Amino acid sequence: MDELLNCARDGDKSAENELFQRLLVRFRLFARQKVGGEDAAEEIAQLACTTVLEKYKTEKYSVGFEAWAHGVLKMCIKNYYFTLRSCKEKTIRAPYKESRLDKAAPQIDPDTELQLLTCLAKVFAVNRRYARVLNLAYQGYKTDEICQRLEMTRNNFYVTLNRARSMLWACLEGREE
Amino acid sequence: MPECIDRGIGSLLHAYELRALPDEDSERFEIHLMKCEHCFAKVKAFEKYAVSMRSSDAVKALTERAAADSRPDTVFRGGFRARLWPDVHMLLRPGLIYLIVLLMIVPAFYGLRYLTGGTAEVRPVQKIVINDLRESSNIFRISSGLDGLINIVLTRETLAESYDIVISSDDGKVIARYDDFRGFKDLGAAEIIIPISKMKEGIYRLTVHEPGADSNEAVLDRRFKIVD
Repeated sequence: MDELLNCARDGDKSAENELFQRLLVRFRLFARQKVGGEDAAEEIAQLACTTVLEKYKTEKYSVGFEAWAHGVLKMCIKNYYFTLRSCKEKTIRAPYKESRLDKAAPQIDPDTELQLLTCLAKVFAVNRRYARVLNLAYQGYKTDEICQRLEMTRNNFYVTLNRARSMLWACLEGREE
Repeated sequence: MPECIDRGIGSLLHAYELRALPDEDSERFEIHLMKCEHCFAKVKAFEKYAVSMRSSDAVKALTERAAADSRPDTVFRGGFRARLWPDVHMLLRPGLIYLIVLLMIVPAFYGLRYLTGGTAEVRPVQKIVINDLRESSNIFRISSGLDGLINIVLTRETLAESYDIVISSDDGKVIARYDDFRGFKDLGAAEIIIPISKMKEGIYRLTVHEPGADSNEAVLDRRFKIVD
């Protein structure tokens, strides 16, 4: 990333294009995590990338390019939620109109869900602790709270998750083949 | 695929996918994803499953049931076969590990045996010493159940390269004969074993003479007894 950035700043157009393609795919993924809907995520990612494109050559960032760019995306997501809230407040007084800024429920593919259920059942059979961690995460608990409830260290928590993920992925890959 | 550029932050991967990270750790991890191709590829590949895991009611219900199950983690349910060969990735099956260890034991056993000099057994013996200086009471007892070891000692200054050794019974019958015996070490000592299975009661004569020499010119001529 640093090399691409330096080349882009020096005026290399292809480096600039590649840099922003890399940013765009990442911004899309992060935005989807935060807002759920594909359309909204795409809009936010494009807006963030455009802002970075306008400012990256002149901006003096003390925290590193990646952290600065991530901050730009965070601001765009914040603005999105602010706009969403403002729209909802207006609709209380006005007749209801469906807003395209409403957070969309994520689409779940039935085949994916079935594969996941089968593989999760296998992983849970040998790693009950993973099921307990997952269950607490669904209830909204974060890392430290989960560790406290299950009497495990943070390191143990991450190791448990990553081991279970490896088993899950091995099962899912096997099925996909 | 390149490796993770920072394993410390990389370990937050699955916690991030499950949204179990506090906000600042989540942000740290996303900044890491901006730089780390390895982790970004993994997150991207797993994304559709992560969405299902976070949103699917069926997955949540399954998780809740599994979490509530108070039975111990079970490769151990389903009998002996399920313990050895559970339905998980091949490399995680205990039976495979045991099989590999067993297969390694066999060559290891034969390798060690070869290195330590074969199958020679060390057994206890009963011992008598026969020398050319004086007669002494030399008795083997069959009741001991031990093989007999005759320690022959020649005290002469120079030793021949080889000797003929004869063991005969009192009536002159040759019981054992060692022609061209070269077992005398530098100090003039040699050893002969009489297995317990070959011992019979009686008085026996042991003579040592140089090869080709007359039996009357024995270097050593002594008697020993075998008793019950």
